[in-house]
Amino acid sequence: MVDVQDERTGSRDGADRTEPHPLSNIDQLIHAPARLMLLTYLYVVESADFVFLKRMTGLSWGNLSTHLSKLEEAGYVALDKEFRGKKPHTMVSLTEHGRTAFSEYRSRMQEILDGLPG
Amino acid sequence: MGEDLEIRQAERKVFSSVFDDGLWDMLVGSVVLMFAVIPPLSRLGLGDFWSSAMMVPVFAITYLIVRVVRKRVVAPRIGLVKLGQTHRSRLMRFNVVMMVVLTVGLILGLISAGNIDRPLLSLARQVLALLGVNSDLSMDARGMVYSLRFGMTVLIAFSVAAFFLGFRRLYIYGVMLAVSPLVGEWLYRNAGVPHHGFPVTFGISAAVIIAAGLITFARLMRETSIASEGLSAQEAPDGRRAG
Repeated sequence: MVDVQDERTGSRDGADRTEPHPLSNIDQLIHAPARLMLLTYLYVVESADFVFLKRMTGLSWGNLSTHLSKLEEAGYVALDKEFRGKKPHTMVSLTEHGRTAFSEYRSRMQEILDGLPG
Repeated sequence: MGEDLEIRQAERKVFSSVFDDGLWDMLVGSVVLMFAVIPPLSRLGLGDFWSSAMMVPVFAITYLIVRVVRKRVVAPRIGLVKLGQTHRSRLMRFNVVMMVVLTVGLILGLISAGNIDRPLLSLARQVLALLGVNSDLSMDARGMVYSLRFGMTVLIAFSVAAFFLGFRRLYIYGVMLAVSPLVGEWLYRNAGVPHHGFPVTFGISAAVIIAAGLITFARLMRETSIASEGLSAQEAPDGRRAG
């Protein structure tokens, strides 16, 4: 009998090779706590500026900017930049793609949690 | 995880963050203060009409101050947000229900001006009996009916506002304002407090509401600072600038 350990899953018999772990299907971009928090707030509003999002999430300017940039690169949020006087002002909103991705993330997480014992 | 719960909590937090700045409490308190101030002004020779009319500019100025403070002081601290569909429908439902309640209250007031309906008269007599008031029952009952009707309308209106807006202290305001004319009537009959006790009862209610608003506003000012979009080089882990 050959005892080969599955490199990816750590399974010894390879029985669950065809069944990937449910969490592997989760959108990792959304799964990060800070981005999940940002998307949750953007999901319930039409748009919000940096100041409002910073206050709601408690993130620093740097973290907020970095996470929003990642979400923007993925096409999940749209940044509408303008100047008010000499100050930059950015309104952030969830795109349709982002809304769909967030809804799917919620459904998948719910399925996983519903499948847990107890 | 309760995903829907998370969403609802986020909705509540956003709504509360936008509206719970204490300024609206101060505005409501200033309106209540008018109920305390108008009766003495009326007796000082201004008459009912002019004493009420001079409160309109007072209210307008207070409202303008609230708007300016919201725009210049509060908004830079809490940021800008356009509410989503859920919030907008909630505000719409609130406006509709409030309009209905206030219209019904107004119609009831107009219909019964000078014509007290029997069920309320009977209820007023029972309330008077409970309060131990025995003097000139018909006149007392008339005052009590007006007080009860006002109290019920105010209580329903504030309860509706508390339910739709999610601000629990509005229930307390509603109860305070609902009992104010009844307690005032009792003070007038039993302690000789002038103007049906309105200056005392509504004055205390107004003071409590304005104080609650001031405390909420002061807490907001303490917890937030004027934030301008942007970040320092030390703050940005990847050297990017916000905006």
